[in-house]
Amino acid sequence: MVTMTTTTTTAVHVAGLVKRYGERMALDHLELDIREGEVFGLLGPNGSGKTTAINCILGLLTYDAGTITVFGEQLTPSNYGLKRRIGVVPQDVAVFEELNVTENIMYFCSLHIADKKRRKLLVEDAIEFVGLGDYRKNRPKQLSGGLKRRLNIACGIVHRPDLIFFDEPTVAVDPQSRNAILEGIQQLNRDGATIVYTSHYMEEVEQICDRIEIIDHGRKIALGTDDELKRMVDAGERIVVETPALAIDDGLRDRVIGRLRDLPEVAAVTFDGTQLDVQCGRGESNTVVVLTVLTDLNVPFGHLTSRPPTLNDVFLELTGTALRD
Amino acid sequence: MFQSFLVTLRTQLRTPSLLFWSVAFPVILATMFHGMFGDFGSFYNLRPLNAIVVADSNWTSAQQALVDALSSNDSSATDTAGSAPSTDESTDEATDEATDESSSTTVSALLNVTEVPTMADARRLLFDAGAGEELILAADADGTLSMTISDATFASINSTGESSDGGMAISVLDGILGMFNRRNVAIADIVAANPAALASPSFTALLAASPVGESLTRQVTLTNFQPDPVARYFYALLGMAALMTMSGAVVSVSRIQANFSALGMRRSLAPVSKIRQVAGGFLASWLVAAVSLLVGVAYVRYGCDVPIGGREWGAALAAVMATLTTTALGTLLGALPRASLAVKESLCSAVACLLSLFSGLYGSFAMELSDAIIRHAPLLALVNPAQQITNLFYDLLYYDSLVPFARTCGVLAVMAAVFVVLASLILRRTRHDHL
Repeated sequence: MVTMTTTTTTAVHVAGLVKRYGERMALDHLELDIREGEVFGLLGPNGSGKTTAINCILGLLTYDAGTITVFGEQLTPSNYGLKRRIGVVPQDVAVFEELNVTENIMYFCSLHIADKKRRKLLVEDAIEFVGLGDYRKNRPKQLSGGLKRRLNIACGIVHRPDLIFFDEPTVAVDPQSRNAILEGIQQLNRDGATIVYTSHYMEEVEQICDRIEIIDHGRKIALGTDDELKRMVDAGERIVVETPALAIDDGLRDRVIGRLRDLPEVAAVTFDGTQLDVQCGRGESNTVVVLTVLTDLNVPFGHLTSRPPTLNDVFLELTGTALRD
Repeated sequence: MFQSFLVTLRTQLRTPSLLFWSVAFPVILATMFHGMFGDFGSFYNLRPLNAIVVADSNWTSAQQALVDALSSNDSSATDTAGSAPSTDESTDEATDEATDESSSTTVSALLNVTEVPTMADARRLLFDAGAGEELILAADADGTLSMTISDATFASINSTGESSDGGMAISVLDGILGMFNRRNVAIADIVAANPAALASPSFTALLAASPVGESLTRQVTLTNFQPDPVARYFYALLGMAALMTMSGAVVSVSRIQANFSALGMRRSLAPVSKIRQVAGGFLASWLVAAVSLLVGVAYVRYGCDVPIGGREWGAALAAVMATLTTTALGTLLGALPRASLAVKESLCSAVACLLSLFSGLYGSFAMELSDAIIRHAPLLALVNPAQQITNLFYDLLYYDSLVPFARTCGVLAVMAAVFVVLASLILRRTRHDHL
């Protein structure tokens, strides 16, 4: 495990957090530090402890050991001052099916804001922010999946919280809605909110998160920026070349694969019948090196792609490829 | 709390299934009851019986006087028949109303008499189906009156339905004949034991009096209202209807619990105490339930013409008290920590159906079961909300005093308090620990 960051102004501080369900250890001395004003990504496979950790932070769950502070205070059920500074956008759409868009947002705003005039303004702002102006009188069942997600977000952010938890807010939405949601989250962050973002979509996390913590089996596996995480693992550039000739000439194929495997930059080589897949190790671009081998051996080739390592590669390397619950 | 009240009110008024079970279902059931039991009360009505009197040598003026009284259209005869206005001048206003409503069961004469000279003639006439005679009245040598009924009459009074309406008249006539015979035997015994009694003016005055007059019988009113056998079923129905309304409270509480839904989680994280949110939901659920039950009560009273003892205001209060208790019970069921909302809603229906069984909703067997529980296990009846809600309306109909009604209200209030306290304890302990 490698930690490459230091704490500055802390929004959420979790130290040595332990949570057990009977014999099972859901959180195993988890460490977490979220800085004020950042977009913090919390990643982990299913059952890794993400949701348990968030529920402990939000005071919904008791825990067996450790300390949690939010803006320097403990979030107890009766710490209403602190609760007013927090917004939650759960994975499941958490609204009343019987109320329309405006009524839903107004209700959740009323739980935080007593002043009626201010409430009205905030509700209008939230509706505008998520782009639901044309759907004010619609009930959730009359909205598409993407619009429901936007309503869910509006209900969580309407009171202008300082710290917002987003738990997979883009599940089952189309690319347009996803873009709108991600842009909205970035806008909230620019407006000063600290964001805690969990998702299984690595490209989203790469796109919006300032720092990312990967947890597994209830423990912190890695923490850092996108680039820092990529540098932590051996995975590097991946080069895919169309080489159908290798399918009909076994001798040539063995020579090509042998030469490539001998290169120090190359970690693995596979051939699937039409494409040669070269996985390089950490370092600079190795496209020229691979092309040189193919040219030297007179291998005709077609389309070539070179892809730098992604967060997904990092995630899989750190957490393994075995299926989880 | 006000916001939770408003949002619960809005959501419940926009939930068709809740409105169906709370408002439409009791009305539909009451309509069915009304159709089924519409003529049930006629079993208790009196109608004139076609009687053959054997005016032979045993038939004396005393027997004739009795038959004349029973076949007369004057008011004294109806008094004797047992369904007449009260003679008690101190009867209160409610009793006056009861008398008014009982007019439908008043009979002007108990007998339509055909006289024949011999028993053989009487038997011939009785067995002649076309004659329509139902019974024979005859006197033996001692002056004892006896009644012989035809097979058809016997079958009629032992059957159910419209044809059974002579049963009550036969019972009344049998009682009168028994009373007449006992009086005669008593006089004969007195004269045999003390012949000098005949010299007593008071004794001779007694002998001269009408054999069926007020000197021997007097109607007394034991209840506030004339008993209506059908009313019990409607009251039991109202008990069930009140219990059906508790699903609103079940849903309301479940939507505040973090471990049941994302909505509950979001509300749990709001800077408002759970108790205040529960209280707002409780009040809204109670309001919806009370109004729903009031609709049911109004329909039963005015649509189905079921009496409530002239105390409609009390019925409204009963609906409010009943729904207070059922809303509290719904809150307790909704607070159960492990069961899902679907399980709780099913539990809600099961509780309503089961408790209604013990309060007598499902016919005569259930009524007998309810009566047996009240007699042999009064504590079980006491803790059954359906039974207590049924009793609320029963108290209004049958008791002159409001003390029984107030006592039942007290029992329901205590129940409600216990349910709310238990629900609060459970809600305080519940955490979001299902993950």
